[in-house]
Amino acid sequence: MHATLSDLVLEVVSNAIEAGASHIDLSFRQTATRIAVEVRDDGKGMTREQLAQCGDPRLTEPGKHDARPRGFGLAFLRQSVDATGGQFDIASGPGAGTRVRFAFDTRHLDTPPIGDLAGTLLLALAYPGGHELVIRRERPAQAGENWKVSRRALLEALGDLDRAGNLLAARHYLKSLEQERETQ
Amino acid sequence: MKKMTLDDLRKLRGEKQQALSRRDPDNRDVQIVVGMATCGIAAGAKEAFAAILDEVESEGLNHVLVRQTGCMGLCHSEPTVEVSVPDMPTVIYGKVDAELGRRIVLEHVKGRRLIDNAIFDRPATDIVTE
Repeated sequence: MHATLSDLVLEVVSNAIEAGASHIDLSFRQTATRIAVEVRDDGKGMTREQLAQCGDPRLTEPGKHDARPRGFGLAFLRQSVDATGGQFDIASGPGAGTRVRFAFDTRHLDTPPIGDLAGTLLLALAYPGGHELVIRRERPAQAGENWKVSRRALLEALGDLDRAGNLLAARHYLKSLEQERETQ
Repeated sequence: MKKMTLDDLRKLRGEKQQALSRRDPDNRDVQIVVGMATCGIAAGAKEAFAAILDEVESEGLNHVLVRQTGCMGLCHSEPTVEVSVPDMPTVIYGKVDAELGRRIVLEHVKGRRLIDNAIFDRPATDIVTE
């Protein structure tokens, strides 16, 4: 099982990248009592049969590691959602991309903590590929500001996201956006 | 911390570039690849990645490439980290926690010494494509 909500977000974004998406939208919306995440991609999508099977840990996408058909990404997500009375839904079609939505009640004792969101989103943004990833973060005003980041804009500013110096600069940037509002 | 803009980010990049020091005379890259599949994430690959970046920063090794990859088939030994340094064998380290991540940068990348008792030979056979 994953320890934080950030890990679950990274799983869904990784799936979108691996589905060959050229554009991925991630929104992470937080209120006083709820965290709702949506990941929408324009990747290859899934058939009805694949959709019915996704989240089954005994299966993974063919070609990944055929001798060991195991896939725990969505399985972990569904397990956490089920254990905490959250919501999960997925919509997909061949050639039509995929949309994954999930939500957690932050008051539930077993809802995982958010974790290091800035550090995790750095990994999501730095994952290799030519795709665009747009991240929108919303939260209550007392918690911090809303922000939006585009992978393409980051790459234009930095040149690449695999040279350590650029990763460190991007990490500093994301932390500055995600910092919590200082209490007066 | 002040909220940064993209212009601030460009300036910060310029500063990091100035501090960039290439050690290899032939411009060959040092590369650190962290396995970031479900198995890696669950075992703490994010923490290993962050520790590697921290150590790279404190040692001023801004030229090093730090990348992610999917499952290397060594799920039993996650987090896994592959390290390629010119004129040294490419190796995969297993069970890389934050401390071992920092040692990889300090001892392998900077000190050019392999770290005993933490190395795997190569990815699992069903992952390798010849």
